[in-house]
Amino acid sequence: MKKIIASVMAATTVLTAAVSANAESVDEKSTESLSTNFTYVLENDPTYTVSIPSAVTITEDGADVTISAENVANLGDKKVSVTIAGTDYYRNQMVLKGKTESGPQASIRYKFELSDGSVIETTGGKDQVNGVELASFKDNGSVSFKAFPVLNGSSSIRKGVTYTGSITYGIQLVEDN
Amino acid sequence: MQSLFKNRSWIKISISVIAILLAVLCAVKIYDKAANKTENTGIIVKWDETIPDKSKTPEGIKIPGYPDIYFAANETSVNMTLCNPKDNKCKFKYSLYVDNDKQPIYKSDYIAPGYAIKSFDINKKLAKGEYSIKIKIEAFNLENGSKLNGAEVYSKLNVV
Repeated sequence: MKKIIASVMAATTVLTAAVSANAESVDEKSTESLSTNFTYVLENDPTYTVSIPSAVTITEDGADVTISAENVANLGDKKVSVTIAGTDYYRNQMVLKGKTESGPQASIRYKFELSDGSVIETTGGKDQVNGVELASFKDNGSVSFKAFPVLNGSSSIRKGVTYTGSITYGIQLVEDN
Repeated sequence: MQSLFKNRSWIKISISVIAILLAVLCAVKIYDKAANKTENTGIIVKWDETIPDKSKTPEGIKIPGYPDIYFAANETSVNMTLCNPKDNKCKFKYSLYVDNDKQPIYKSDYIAPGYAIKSFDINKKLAKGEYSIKIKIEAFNLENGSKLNGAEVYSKLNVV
């Protein structure tokens, strides 16, 4: 019995030892050449920041919308361009949606008026304003414009409803023409 | 022989030996698994690096912008910082799209403000060349998870 137990214990010890790592040692008398491995990791880090509004908040008198850029430098012949990439509404229209207490859906269009007087809005078509530039930066700074509700003509506008929606902004370095 | 089987000590010893062997086998398997490469969906780490805050919109969402990006050819493991600046009051989710593909090559988990993913695995190997890359950043309210305005950062991907 003791021999059996001893044999089994010995076998277990051998199995465990097989998992152990063996450390390499260097024999000073050896003629083998040694080498050093170097590694370098190229980090893909962001180099600038654009601040966008967290939500589309509009009032009848027009709400200020500000887009800012930080840490913008050494762009050469390029600029940071901020565009509309899409919205959360069907066909990427500039529409906010809400729900009335009685249940029917309500919706309301909105528009942007830029500082140069140009108006950005959709009229039902698909991707009408995708790619439209809202701001551009060669350096740190801010660009502001106003957001207004479009209150005329739609039967889907309901009073007392909270309308919400979101925009996806496109950000990229482009040639400064 | 009969007396052997009737002897409970023999049974106990056998069970102990089997248990020890199983434990050793498990240890070997765990060691092997750790040594072998497994899919890295991105470990989220604290990100203390700050970009100087010159924004005039304290309520805005700070979106990181990227210059040209470099990945290694025929590799799924990539190093790229997907961060959520610590001043933000929302959580981020990143998706990466190459050229006009509708399916992303990578989707992250939620990233809280002040945290970043520094390396992760993409779901396909890319051959050498230049690609357009779309870095889609979705932002969500920290409290109720509702979707906020987001961004798509466009850049050039160099696979070398």
